[in-house]
Amino acid sequence: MIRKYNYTGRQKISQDRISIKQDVSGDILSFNADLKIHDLGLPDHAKVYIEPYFKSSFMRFDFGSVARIQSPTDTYLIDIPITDRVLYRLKIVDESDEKGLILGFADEIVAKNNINDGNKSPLLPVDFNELNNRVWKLDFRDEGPVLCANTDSRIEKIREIVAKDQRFLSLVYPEVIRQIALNIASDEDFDFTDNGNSWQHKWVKYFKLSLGIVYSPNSKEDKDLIEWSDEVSDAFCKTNRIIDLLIN
Amino acid sequence: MYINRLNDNGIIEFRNQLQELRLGTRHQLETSFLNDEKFISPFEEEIEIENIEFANKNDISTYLVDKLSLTNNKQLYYDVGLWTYLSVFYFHLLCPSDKSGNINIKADARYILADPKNWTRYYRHLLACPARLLCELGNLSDSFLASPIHIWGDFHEQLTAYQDIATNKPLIETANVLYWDTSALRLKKGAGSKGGGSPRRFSDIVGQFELTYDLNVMKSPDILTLFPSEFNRWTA
Repeated sequence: MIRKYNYTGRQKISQDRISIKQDVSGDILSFNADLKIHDLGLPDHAKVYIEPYFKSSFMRFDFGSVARIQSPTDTYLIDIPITDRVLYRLKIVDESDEKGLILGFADEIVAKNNINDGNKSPLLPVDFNELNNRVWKLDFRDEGPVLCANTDSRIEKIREIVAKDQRFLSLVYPEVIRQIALNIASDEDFDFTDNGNSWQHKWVKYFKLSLGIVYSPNSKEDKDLIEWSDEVSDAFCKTNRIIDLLIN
Repeated sequence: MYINRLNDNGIIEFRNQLQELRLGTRHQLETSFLNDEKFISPFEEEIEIENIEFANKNDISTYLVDKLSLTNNKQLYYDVGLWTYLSVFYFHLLCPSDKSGNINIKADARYILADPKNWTRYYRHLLACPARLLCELGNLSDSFLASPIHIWGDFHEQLTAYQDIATNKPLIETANVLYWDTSALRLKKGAGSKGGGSPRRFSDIVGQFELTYDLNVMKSPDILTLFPSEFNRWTA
């Protein structure tokens, strides 16, 4: 188990105190935030920042102070690509002595918008973004695997295809499951016997409860990892009758 | 020559030529398509650029920032056609030939500014990223820009790969204290290494600091005190 220390008394702010809504205008996202942090015992003068990010793209917005939260007039995400998976970070910072101590913190906040309901947290989120010449790819991000589909205008109705097209489901998802299983199995630090709450644990729980894969790889040798990942994928195909999906 | 933009056809032509150069079916970039209306679209202003043999990223970035008035036209940061056009125009500097006349073509992202709001790709562009860093960081960007245009060292990679590090002035100032020799105007010897106290460790450790401190509002000397002893050799 990884131990985490919090020497400075930093508060973890519950996500139900933070509501972020996104709008899309042309090819630029913007957002507004509703923060309920006045009763957390944080000093009035502490500064409030919201930092949207996507992979290594990052922006930072000054939302005033705890006592006087003020949205900036411009919250356009000019440095963030159009994606359904922008995440937000909230920081409450003590700047009184320029030490920059973080007093309150929330991370991986998902916005609500007209495409993606922020209240849901699916096991495999789908993102629609630019992928050059690929139709799809599986992207392993900090928050876990994300199925990415290409928004290239040459692919009509990509959202419908990903959501409903049985050929897409039958051809893509078994490989997605295999890659996820292989990624988890290859992680030297991952402990199959640990009841953690990481994205890896959630997926292993799914493999056990939904696919009946109650065992872990025999060893960390490549051939065993590959064999186990193939078995997980095959169990997924059997459970979801993937061949029937393709031929019917 | 006046600055233009490459249109979609021009970018496809450039991408195809890059691949032919990699495969060896072409031996040098044919740049005449920069004069062909099928491949370019005009820039708003008539800005003349010259084919100067710039010695390093700082020289060419200073030149382009001035020509484009980039500090006041930051929307040009994201201009795919503009930066890709400039890549073709200055291709001999972005991808110089070795003594045998061979050229080593790197990933397309070094030359073609695709998906410009995605920093994962943006920071790799050999002209757009240095020019932007110069605009955003001023003299603090000296350490990034001192090397020849085509050189991509580990220092550059570690400190520019994440936008929250690359655009954080106190943090870059701290990196400069550690790795930049202000008198010789070059990176300190060993700054490209990968062991203890290296730029790679710097970016790793910064990620841990960010859980406790907001490094954007701290002063560089205060940030410096947070670093463990493995970094002492740079300040001794």
